[in-house]
Order: sequence, then C-alpha cells, then structure tokens
Amino acid sequence: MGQTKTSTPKVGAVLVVGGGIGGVQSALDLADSGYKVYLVDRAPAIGGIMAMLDKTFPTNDCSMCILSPKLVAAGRHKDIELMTLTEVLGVEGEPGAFKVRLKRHARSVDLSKCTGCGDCLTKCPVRDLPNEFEGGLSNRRAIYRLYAQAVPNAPTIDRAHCLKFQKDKCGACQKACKAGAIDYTQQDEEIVIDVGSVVVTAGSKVAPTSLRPEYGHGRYPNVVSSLEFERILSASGPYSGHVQRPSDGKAPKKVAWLQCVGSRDDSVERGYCSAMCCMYAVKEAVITREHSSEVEPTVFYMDMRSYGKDFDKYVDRAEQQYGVRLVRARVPEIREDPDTHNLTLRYASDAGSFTEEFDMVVLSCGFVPPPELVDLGKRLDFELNRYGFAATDAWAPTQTSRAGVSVAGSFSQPMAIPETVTGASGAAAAAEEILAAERGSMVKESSVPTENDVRGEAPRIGVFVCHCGINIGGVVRVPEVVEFARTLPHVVYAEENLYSCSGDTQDKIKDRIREHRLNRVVVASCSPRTHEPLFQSTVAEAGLNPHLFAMANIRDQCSWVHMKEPDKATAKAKDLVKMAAARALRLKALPKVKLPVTKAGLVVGGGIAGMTAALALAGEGFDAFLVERDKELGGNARDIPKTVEGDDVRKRLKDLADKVSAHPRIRTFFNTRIKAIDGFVGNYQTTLQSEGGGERKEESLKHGVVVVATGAQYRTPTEYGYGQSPSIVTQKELEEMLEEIKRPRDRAKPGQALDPLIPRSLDPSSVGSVVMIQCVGSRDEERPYCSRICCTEAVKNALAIKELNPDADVYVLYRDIRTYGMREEYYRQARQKGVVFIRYSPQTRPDVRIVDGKPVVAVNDPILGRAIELQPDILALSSGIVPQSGSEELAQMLKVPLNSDGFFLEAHMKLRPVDFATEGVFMAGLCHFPKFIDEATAQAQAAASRAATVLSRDTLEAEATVANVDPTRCSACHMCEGLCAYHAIEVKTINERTGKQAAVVNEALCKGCGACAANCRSLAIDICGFQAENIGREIAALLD
Amino acid sequence: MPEAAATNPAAGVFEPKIVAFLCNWCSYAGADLAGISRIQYPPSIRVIRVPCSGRVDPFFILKALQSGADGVLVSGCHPGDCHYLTGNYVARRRFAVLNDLLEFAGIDPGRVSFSWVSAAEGERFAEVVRDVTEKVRQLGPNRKLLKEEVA
Amino acid sequence: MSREEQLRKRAKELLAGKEVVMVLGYRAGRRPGTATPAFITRPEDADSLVFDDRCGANLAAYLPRVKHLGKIAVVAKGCDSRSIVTLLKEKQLDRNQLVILGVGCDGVKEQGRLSDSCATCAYPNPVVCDEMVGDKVAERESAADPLAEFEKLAPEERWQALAEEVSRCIRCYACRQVCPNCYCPTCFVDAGSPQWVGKTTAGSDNMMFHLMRAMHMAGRCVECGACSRGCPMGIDLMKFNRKVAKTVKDRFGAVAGLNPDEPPALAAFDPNDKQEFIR
Repeated sequence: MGQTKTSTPKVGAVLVVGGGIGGVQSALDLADSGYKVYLVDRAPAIGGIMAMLDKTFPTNDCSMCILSPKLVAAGRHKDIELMTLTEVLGVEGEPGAFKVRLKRHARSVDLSKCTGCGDCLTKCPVRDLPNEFEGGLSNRRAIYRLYAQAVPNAPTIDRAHCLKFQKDKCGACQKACKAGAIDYTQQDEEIVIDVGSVVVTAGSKVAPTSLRPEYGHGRYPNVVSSLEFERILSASGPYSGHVQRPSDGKAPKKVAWLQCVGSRDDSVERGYCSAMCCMYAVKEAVITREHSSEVEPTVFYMDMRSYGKDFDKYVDRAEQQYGVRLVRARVPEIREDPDTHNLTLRYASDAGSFTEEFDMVVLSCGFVPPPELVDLGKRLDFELNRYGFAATDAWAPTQTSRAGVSVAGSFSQPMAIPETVTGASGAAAAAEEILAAERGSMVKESSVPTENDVRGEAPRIGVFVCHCGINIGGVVRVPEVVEFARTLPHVVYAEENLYSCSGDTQDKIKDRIREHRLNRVVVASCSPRTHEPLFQSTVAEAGLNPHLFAMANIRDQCSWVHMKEPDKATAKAKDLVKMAAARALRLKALPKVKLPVTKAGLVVGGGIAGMTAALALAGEGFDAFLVERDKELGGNARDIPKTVEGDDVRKRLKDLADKVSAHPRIRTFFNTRIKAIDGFVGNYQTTLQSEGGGERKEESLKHGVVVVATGAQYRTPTEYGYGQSPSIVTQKELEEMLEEIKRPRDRAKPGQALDPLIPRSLDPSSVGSVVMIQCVGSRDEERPYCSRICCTEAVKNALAIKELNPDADVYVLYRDIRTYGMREEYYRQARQKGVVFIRYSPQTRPDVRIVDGKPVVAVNDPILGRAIELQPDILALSSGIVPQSGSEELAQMLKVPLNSDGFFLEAHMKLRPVDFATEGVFMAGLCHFPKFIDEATAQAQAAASRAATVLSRDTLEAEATVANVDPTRCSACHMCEGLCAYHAIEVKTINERTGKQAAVVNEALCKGCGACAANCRSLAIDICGFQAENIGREIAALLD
Repeated sequence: MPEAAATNPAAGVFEPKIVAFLCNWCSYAGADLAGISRIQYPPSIRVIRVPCSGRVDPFFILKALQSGADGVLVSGCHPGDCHYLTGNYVARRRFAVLNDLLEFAGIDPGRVSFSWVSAAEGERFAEVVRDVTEKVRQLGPNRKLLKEEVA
Repeated sequence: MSREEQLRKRAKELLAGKEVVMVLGYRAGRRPGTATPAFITRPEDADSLVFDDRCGANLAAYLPRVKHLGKIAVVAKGCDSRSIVTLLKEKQLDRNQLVILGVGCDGVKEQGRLSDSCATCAYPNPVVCDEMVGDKVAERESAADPLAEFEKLAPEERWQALAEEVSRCIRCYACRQVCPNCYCPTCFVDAGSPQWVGKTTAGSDNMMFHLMRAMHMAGRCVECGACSRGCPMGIDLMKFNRKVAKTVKDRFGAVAGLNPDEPPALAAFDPNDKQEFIR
C-alpha cells in the first residue's frame, strides 16, 4: 500500500475473438469458471469452419452432431454475450484492464424479437446469390441464415444485394415477419467494452486455390476445393449429401485428391505443412466410398502425415477396407476435356510416368491467415511470423507478444480440431491466471424465485399452442388443437400464441401459471432441443420446478414436414399434445443435487506437462499437489538438450522447476507414488506413499480434480543391431554425443559422459558419415502408431551434424517425413544442406549387418531403383515412444481407459481432448500420446482450464436428469456397472447389518443416458425426466 | 422408391401409427433438421424423445405394439457417435436379441425397425420414415401382441 | 467304489471336517423315479445323497438362497456348473465360499425318456469344479440345431404355434422358481408403476411375459431345461431360451456360463457387432 502508482482495477471479463470451435471452447471454459465473456465473430453466426465439415477423422463423427450442442451451450450461457457481425477495431490498456473498440455491423434483424422461424427466408425475391457457406455450389437469398443450425438462429440481411437497401423497393421480409423483427433502420455502431484479458481464436482460412492456377479451380467445374467437397459430402449441403459433379450432377466414379495445395510450397511463400490435410483427404476419400462403393478414390500425396493418435490405423483401414488408393506423386497440372469436363492428370511415381483420367478432383488446400486476420493481428498489436500467423513460443504456446492477449487454434499455426480445442482451453487458463482475483466479479446471479411445492396437489396442466407465425398455423389448425387440449384429462387451461417464445408470451405464461394455479405446463411449438431451456426458465420464474414442463414438437416434426396434409398434420399435432399432456401428468419436481468441492488439484507426474499444469492451477488460484515418483522434476525432457528451434531445454526446464518450487500454492512430493484414489469429481481423497531416507511414509490428501501427466518413455530398440556395436546408437544418444562435441573444450569431460558407448573423439570431423533409420519400433504390427516426434528429432540431429561438419554424409532412411506444421522449415533446410533422404517401405526395410564391429546398412533406393550399401561411422535409430510404465495401474485406480496402444484415452478425440469420460479427471502430455513440448504445454494449460470449471465452484450442481435406484427392487446383479460409460453406478452394501447390497448412483458422475435402466431386469433403475412410467403413459395415451 | 411413398395421395390408404423412439442428440436432431429443411414425409410417426437409444427398454417397444401401434421405430446415433460414448453399442446388443426374438416369434419383419440417423441427416431421417411407413402399410394394421386379442 | 458312494464319502468328510456347512445335492424323491434337492448339514445324513439320471433340478438355483449360511459344497453337473458361472459373473456367489463337487452327466431322464435339453447338451461335464466325483463322461457330438425345424415355418405359423403354446400358461411362475437366473427381489411381472406386463392370462399378457422372460435370459441361460421340466402345463419354455442363446452365440460369439472372467454378453459390446438389422 501507499505506492505512488495507482493501477487500474482489473476487470473480470474476457474478450474472445472468433467464434469457431476454438473460441466456443475458450468462452465456455471461461464462463464456466466464473468470468463474463464477450464472444465476437465477424460472421452472422458462430461455428467457424467446423460447422462446414461433414465428418471428422479419425472417428468419422458427424461434425455438426458434436459441434451443435457446444454452439447452443455458448449461445444460451448466462455469462457469454454473443456479438456476431462484429469486428475488433483496437485494444488499449494493460493486462487486467483493456478497453476494446468494436464495430457491430447492422444485421437488420432485431435479435430480441426474432424467433428464428424462417418465414422471411422464403419470401425474399433475390434468390440467386452464391451461398458462400456452401462454397457457392448453391444459392441463397438476400436475407439468409448462415446454415440451418446457426447460433444465433436469426437471419441477416445482405444489404449489398437487398432490394430494399439498393432500390428502396420490396420489404417482403418485413411483411412476412409476424414478430416484427425486421428492422431496416439498424445502423452499424461502434462500441467500447472493458475486459481484463483477450483470447484470440480467429482461426485461418483454407489456402486460396489461386495459389495453384494450373489446377484450374474456378475454370474447371469438377475441380473443387476440399472445403467445397466437405459441403458436397454433407447431408445438409448443396447436394443433400449426394456426391455428384458440379458440371452435370452425375455421380463421379474416379475421384482424385491432390495434397499440399498452398502447403509445403516455398514457391508461393507457403513453406510450412498445414498439418491436417493428409488426414482430412483420406477421411473424405473414406466417406466418399461410404456414400458409394462404386467410387474409386485416389489420394496423390508427398508424405502421408498421419502422425496423430489412431491416424495410421485410420489410413491403413482406408487403404485396406475402403480401397482408397494412395499414390506418392506430385501432380504438376490438370487438363480438362471441355466436352466431358473430365480431368486428366499426368504424374510420375516410383512405378513410372502415367496419364490418368478422373471424373472429379479435390484440391487439399492448406491453411493460411488471410489478409483480414493479418490485419486483425496488427490491430491487436502483437507480432506475427513471416507467414502472418501469430508468433508464439514453444514454452508458452498460447501467449502472443502482447501481455494479456493469448492465442489459440489455427491463427497460431495450422492445426486440427483437437489441438485447437486444447489450445483454446489453454488460452482460457492463461486469461484466468491474469484475472484469478476477479473470478466471479462480473457473472450474472441467477434470480429464480423459491419453488412452489406441488407435491400432493392434483395435476393442473396448462397447454400453450404456438402458431409460430404461419410456420405452424399455416398448416396445423391451431385453434382446433387448443380445443382438443381442453378435453384432455387434468388440463385446466389451454390457449394459442402467435409466438410462444416471444418475450410477451413468456410473461403471459407466467401470469397464467399464477392465475390458474398450474402445476404442469405443456408448450406445443418447436423443438425442445432449442427451446426447452427457455420455457423451463420461464416456468421456474413463475415458481415451478423446471422439470414440471413438457414440450410437443408440432413444428419441426409436424407442420414443416407435412406441409401439404393439413388434416393429417392437425391430427398428428393433437396426438403429440395428448402425449405431452400424458407425460406431464406424472412429471416430478427434480431437486438440484449440490455437492461440495475441494478446491485443489492433484497432478500426477512432474515432467513439463505436470509442472505446467501445477503452475497453471496455482496461477488460477487453486492449490496444487504435484506428485513425482522420481527424486527430481523434469521427466523425459531432462534428456533433451535442445529443440529443433534451438531452445536450451535444460535451462528452460530449470526455470520451470524453480517456478514450481517457489510457488506458495504448489506442494511437490518426490519419490512418491499414488497408493489409492477414492471419491469422485470435486471430492477426491488420495493416499500417497513416499520413500525417502530408507523409510516409507503415507499421506492422505483431499482434492477436487486429478490431472494425469505421467508422460511416456523412450523405447530401447531391439532391432538393427542395437547393443551389438558401439557405433549403433539411438537418436537421443546421438544428440547427447553431438552436444558433447559442441561443448567448449575447457568444460568438456572427455570420455566421461560418453563412455563406453560412444567412441567419438571430440573432433567434429570424425563424424564423417551418419545413417539414421526412422520408425524403429513405430508403425509396425506391435506398435501400429507413429511416435510423432522422431522425424523432427532426426532432422534436428542431421542439421547439427551438418553444422559441425558440412562435409559429413547424412542419410535418413524414412517411410514418410512427418515434420508437420512449421517444422517443415527444418526439413527443407536439411535437404538444402545436402542431407540425403531415402524412402523405404515396410516391405523394403533396411538391413543392418555388423562387419568388424561396424554397421553396414543395405537399403533399396527408390530413386536409383536399386539396392545401395552404406558404411556409416554412426548408425542412429529413431526409436519411438512407448506408454509409461504403471499406466495400467493408475488407469484402474482412476477408472479411466487406455487405448489399445496403452496411452490414456480421452473422452472424445475431437472435442474433449484433455478430459476423461470420468468427470474431474484430465490429462496432459505424453501420457495421452507422443507430442512436442509446445503441444504438451498447451495441453497442460488446457487441463488446468478444464479443472477450473470444477474448482471455481463452491458446490457442484449435478444434473437432475440422472438415474435413481429403488434399492428394494435391486438384485445387485452388477449388470449396470458394466454398462455405464461413466462409472457412475456401483453396487454397494447399503445396509451393514443385513448385508443388503444394491446399485448406488453417483449423481455427480451420472449423465442420465439410461443404459443402466433399460437393461435392469428388475426395473429397479429409472431415469429422472425420462421415467419409464411417463414413457409408458405417453405410449398408452397415443394409442388408447 | 421413397418418393412413391411420400407422395402417396389416395384417401383410404391405410395410415399406420408408428411410435418412434429417437435419441435426443442425433436422431431427434436429424428429425428436426428434416423439418428445418422442409423435407416432407408421411405423417405416420409419433416421436417419443429419449436421451439415448440406450434408454430404450424392450418393454417400450413391446408395450407400443401391445397398445396398438402398427409399427415401432428406434433410432439413435451412428456407432461411434453416441453422445454418451457407448450407449448405442450396448443398446445394439439388446436390440439384436429383441429383433431376432420377435422375428422368431413370427412378428412380421418390419413391424419393429431400427436405424442410425445423425444430426446432419435430415434427408436420411425422412427416407427412413418413408421406408418404415411403406413397410408397415404393406403389412397392414398390427394384429399380433395386441392387448385385446392374441391373434 | 461307485460314484454315489464316493459322493457320500466326500460329503461326510467335508461336513465332519467343518469345511462346509452344507452339502447341496440330490436325494430320492417321494415319487418313484424322481430326485429332489437335498440340503445336507449333518455328516450322518450324507448317505441319503444320490446321483443318477433322475437328478434334473439345477442346484445353482438354490445357492443364492442358502449362501448366507456359510461355505457350501454343491454337486454340479455341466449345466449346474455353468449356472454357477453365470451367478459368479453377476456376483451373486463368492467362489471362495463354494466347494464344487463336479459330476459328469449322461443326461436327465423324464418318465424314462432323455430330457429334450439334455439331448442337445454340449457341456455334460462341469466347466468349473474343485474336484470331480467319479469320472468325466464322454463329450458329445454337437447336436443338430433343435430350432431348425421351427425356424423353417412361415412367420404366421410360428406366431400361431407360440401363441397356442403360451396361451396355456397359468402364470404359476414355476419356471421362475426353478431357474438359477431368477433371483430378483421383485420380478418384473410383480412390479407396478409402470406395470409393463398384465397379470392376467388373457390376451397378449402371456406372450409379453414369455418374450420378456426370454429377453432376461439372453447371455445368461445355460439351457439346463429346468423351466420346461418344471412347467405344469408342459409349455416349451426352452424354445424361447434357445433362441436368445442362439442369437447371443451367433452375433456376439458368447456362450453363457463358460468363463467367469468375461462380462455378461449384454453388459458388454464389440464396436464391430453385426448390425445388418439396423438401417
């Protein structure tokens, strides 16, 4: 106190720039952790590129299926303010207190009035504008919705093409809108908001096909970009999911994918690898085959970069099961037959030169920061790299050069969805660290009145039937449905509304509840998926438990799909109302279950990921227990002198360890193992066992979350003569050796560190020739995965050798070089410096003999087309990464799964990359899969951010719609335990005296899916909100 | 072809009542998308929303038939897409046993149908409804397992 | 020493040595040509034990009802042992509290005729036991599919046949009583809210009951035939059981009651399970 400089008070709000999956993840993490979030996007709706995708690799998940719930969650989060059609003009101030200038473009549609009914969309006479979302393959109107499931769901007017704005004619949309939401007078406006931190998740764009004009995109109709092809595949796309040629609508037979368009191409200033195109191309080929087994897909590629978890398996399946042909060749140009619009590709592969005709060609475009993003970076005032991506550091991968501004996703470098989501959570953690003390200061308190107790009351049901403008009322005879509703048992009130969801109707519903003492409410309108939460909060505001509410979907699933059959649609609407009323009859008020939270996290493993996670947790304001089974921190990274970028790993590691030991919120345990973990999210109790000074100690800790960061280990090779000659070493050993040679003479300890394995004198020129073999023990039958880092390690060592001795001969025997992302730069340098890369295949593995104690390597050179023999001074083996010892034991204790390779398995490979299915348990680093330091660091920060969504709460509110068990009926057969994906149900002794056992549901973990209930023979389990009895009544009501 | 069923105009055509159990996250969303896209299908189905196809107890299906439904459709997320990770996988085993048992018992194949429909498959959902409806139409009103009379 | 004598001797030893509190086996029934479960707790009563082709009851059914007494020795044919495995999987029994006295079985006779279920039995010897009493019997050739004929009938004929079959059901629940798989405190037929199955024997209530009973047997029923033998109306319950067992085997490659370490077939899944019936 008493300091002269008064600092501006910090603001507990965060600006998130960009509403793709990254921005949505950041926003949800932050809002769920007690911050106000402004989520800004230039587009009329959030969703970004992921909303345009059909399926996602390697699980072939439907993109919209997994994205849409997140968009909806962001759209209605009480602490997230969506600001669409909005641009950031500038950011001033300092971390903790920024002033952000925004420009909000006029939508010409009043969001507060628009019900999203879509009546306006069909009336607009301007109907031939290219639909950008569909890659121009279909048309849209001047008033349009970005895509069907858009959030917000309101349309927007494209003023440049609207007749009202251009010629002051028309006004058809305004006439069509019964809600009065069309507002031609809206103006663009500039606004200023206060935030404490900024997260930039602005993404990137697919590389323009104009980078490769010789491929004829835009001239040849059957050449499409990969993103256009995603829309072609999509069931909701321009062709309704029928794969067809734009030129003639015919189903193509032969389809080619050309990789690296705008990637790995220095000639167009795009030297980096876009990291995800190999996988998405193979995925598109697979999905195309799933659409039609007639299709013959071919992917032309340079290196197959399937370096991620389960990626190689996916590519293998694509080849073997789906008949996807993979051809290693670069195609120089495409010629089109102007009559047929077929496309001729000429290419040279190992097998010779070929000319081949295709029906359709997909350009696998890379990712670039477009000029508007480069511009955004400038306005936000942080450094960009030479390609225009946000510049970051491997040890702080979410930190831009401007303090308080973090970045995630493909605006920092091209990355796929899981890395984007991981980074987005990581960036959220970075924002939280700045604003730890401001947590909760700007969130909305929910003001729900106390609930009326309706138990024991006879049911009094009110039914509200919506016209939805003319969306329902134009087909279904709503008044007739209302009359019918009045005849149903226990219905004491029924009325019709123009829009049941409008603000004034909400008030009316509340009044009716009070006037008529309604204790159950039925709304017959649109989909509960979008509107149930709204109506539930309305009834809650009138003092009813939100679960005393039922919906009948008479629009999306009735009037809209039976538009020409008003009689039958009306009859169906009556049935649906009758069913909803029958369900409503026995609805029960479901109490919210509250559970306390211990605000501390346990981090298992003291490597880079573990230390980073502990520091991030502590930075967010929570206690962290860091458990390391070794005697010091650092993990595997202790064995790495430098990164390929030239970072001194050991120095950075020491800095990190120093920060950990200095942090007052972190308690570190050395020589310690986990003995037992009990409990569940928010409430864990762990027993630690430490060894030290010859004695064993046990200690018990309480914590709310667990972060698994146990790492992985280098595999010791058993092949290629390792161990039989001192000249055969691993890459790691080679790197040590090179370091020793580079070390200044006076500090060198000749022979000591290197002996006995490494026979080098400290003369660089003695490293005359080196052969490296890649994929040693990786990508084989036993370990069918790529260890991800070895290619870059090899390139790093090759460059180091060339630096020591430019005349050295370095040969890298490889299968695919996987220097993805910016690492491609080093691969290019290595080639430039004369490192020779010789490709082999699983069928032509190199052969190593030892002659006179030295290795002799025979390998087939595909370029020369014959076998060559090399006699290197050193043979370095790129031996892969294998799972950490003890993983299985830990997995069992935590009840979390490992994948078939032995790495920890996340809850969802795309959207929940750091979460386990078991709530409150997270993972980071190599225990998940081999990865680089920046990736492990981002994942560790992400784990801390995910953890904060739990630890920031005083109590956890369990979902009300969970399973419950009638113990008197339970036979304790244990079937439910095996069925539950969340380990939320367990048979326990419930009466010590009688020994009676029964299944017990952990409400904190249960998701209410009902798998247990449907398999319970004795009908002991039921699902709140989806009770068997209510479903039975619905069935009976329909059919009586 | 499905179009034939969709445009079936004739009055007096048997309009079956089909109870459809749709999982909230995929098939129900797919049905919504069919609506958003205005894809037309026969007004035969009455949807009961369930959290997951894994929630569907064989009783629900048998009860629907017993109460007089002419057909039953159960639809969930495609394998691997389950919002609850594995709910549809365990459901699939249960459905397989029920499917085989009903067939064995002489319940007409087609009375009870199962499908996977994703949230992006509005057209597919409509197609499934058309197909199922057409099949049930051909079978005629359900007379087996009815509460009143056992054939 | 005959097998029966060996059995009595071991029973005496186990009881006298207080290794078990009860030997669960068979004794001659009141009606000639029948045997009934015997709950022997005193060494001197062990001489009443018998074992021959009259011994049809599945003794596993009685274990959950007597397990609270302590460690039990149980005489187990192939089918009894498989039911024990089913119960172990469902954690209804503690393996350490059981002494399984395995007996080979050449099939149970009903009124002088080999029981239907035994005619197709593929596991005449115990799949799990602590000691064999007497020798194992010869493994049998796998019999022809007993459902093959029935499945060739037209759907309408199958429905008629089964509807006729179950129409005789008087809902006495003898099938439930003798089945080792039926240990629920409240059976679904006795449950209310929702009452899924009507308690009457009218209309389709019987069919609902038998279909759901069969569903509950999937992956659990070892086809011992106790239900069919126990039915006073002579309903061929095994037909339903066999069907679900066949589905479970054909689709999931699982056979009930063989491996206590495998999860029950319906509490597990394989991502590649056949799904040709799903569109």
